[in-house]
Amino acid sequence: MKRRSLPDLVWAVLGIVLIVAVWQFYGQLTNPFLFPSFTRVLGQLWEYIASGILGRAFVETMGLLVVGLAIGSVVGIVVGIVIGSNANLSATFAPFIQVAYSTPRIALIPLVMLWFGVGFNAQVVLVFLSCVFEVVTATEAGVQLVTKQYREVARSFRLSRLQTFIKVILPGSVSYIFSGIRLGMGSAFVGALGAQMFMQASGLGSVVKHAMQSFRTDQVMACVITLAITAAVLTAGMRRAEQRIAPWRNDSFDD
Amino acid sequence: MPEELSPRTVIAARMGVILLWLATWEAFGRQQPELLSYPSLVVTYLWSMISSFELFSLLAASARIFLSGWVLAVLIGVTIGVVVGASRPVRLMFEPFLNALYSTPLVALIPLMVLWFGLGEKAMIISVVLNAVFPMIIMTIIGSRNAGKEYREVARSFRLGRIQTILKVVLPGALPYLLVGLRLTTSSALRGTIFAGFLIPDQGIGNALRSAGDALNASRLYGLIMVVVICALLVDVVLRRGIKLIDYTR
Repeated sequence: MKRRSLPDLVWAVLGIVLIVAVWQFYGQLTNPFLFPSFTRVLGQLWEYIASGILGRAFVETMGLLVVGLAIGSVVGIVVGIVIGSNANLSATFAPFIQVAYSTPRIALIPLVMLWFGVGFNAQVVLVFLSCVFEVVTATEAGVQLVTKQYREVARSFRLSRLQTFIKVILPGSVSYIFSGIRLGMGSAFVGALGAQMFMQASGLGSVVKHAMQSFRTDQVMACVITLAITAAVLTAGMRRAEQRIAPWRNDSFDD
Repeated sequence: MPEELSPRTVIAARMGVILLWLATWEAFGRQQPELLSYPSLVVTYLWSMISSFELFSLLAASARIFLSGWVLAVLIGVTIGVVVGASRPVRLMFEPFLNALYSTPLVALIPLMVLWFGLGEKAMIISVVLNAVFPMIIMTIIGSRNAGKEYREVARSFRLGRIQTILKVVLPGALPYLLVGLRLTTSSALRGTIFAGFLIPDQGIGNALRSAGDALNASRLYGLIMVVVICALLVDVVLRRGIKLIDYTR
């Protein structure tokens, strides 16, 4: 039996109102330079937008993210498919990929700077490194699983290796590939911010860092709000694309 | 399908890959030592760092921040997750907010922590917690919701209290999700430790990496990156072992 209750959306709105109210109230009680109220942060956000700073920074960050993630995805998918469809390659390289995957890629910033400098290309390299292993791992796992599940079927339909690959394995692993890209996107975003903070100053990363250096908590918070909205929109977009392309797999398990 | 290699051959193949990589690095590195360095030099340098105890103090500083942040993130994450997951209204109110924060690159909050807590260990630990806590919260919410369904009736018929239901029914039922959360939390905590070390000059690995890069000291930089890689690997192995111990579903 279901209890009668308010619709979901009402609760969600209530939650937001509550959080904003507490934030506003607390912000007005304390030192506004340390903890700015919600309206103050909104005012700063508006100032950022009106002055064009935020728009420019946003475009720079998205450009870096998209280029790095695109290269990382393509390379990751290809490598994942190659490794995933050959048991020996997979067994040989699995530990190396595991090592790369568990290493925080942000630690490579000084290395990337030493090799490629601090410009846009170097930043793309860092974003690429931040996401490529996520895509490789997910693609490899998907290809292996699908191969195991459908090998018999493909054989009984007398499909050739190429046909099996195009008609069975590739469509079967699409959803895994997408989870890999979604996971990679999160870490590419961190990589992009790191690159823009510590390499050549640009984009949202440099705006946050500049806000810190000028002791502006309201500016840092305005940036975090921007990032939160961006990340939410991107994640929702990815999920939607995922459901479009692979509607048969409906889970939200982030692994 | 190609023939599968025996486990021994696979290990030999892995060794081959490592040796090939080291040999190539050594050969090219000797041509351009200031950019590439080379393995034998890096190992010598690492050894000097070990024998002077410098590496030990770097690792100790980073490990203290990572471990405190990690423990706090896990405890806080599970607690918030259980509280939010336990009641439908609370979940509906706060889950969208928590979900948004979960996907936000929260390294952007580290500057705020610097402003609030100064350039010190406190700011670093809180930064690590903030970066690592949300996967744990989200996975605990998802897990306790999924675990609740089947067993809540049972718990009720055994007349378990709220806290007992959570401890004996909800958390064990949510275990697979908690373990996924644990893995995500661990990698975020590692990342947070390094990132915070770039921003906050501490006694740990992050700051050492950064200054080695700034000083264009290739051997030191490669040595430190190797140390980071080995530590990450070690953490991963320990975590897998630990997960195997507690995961009764396997």
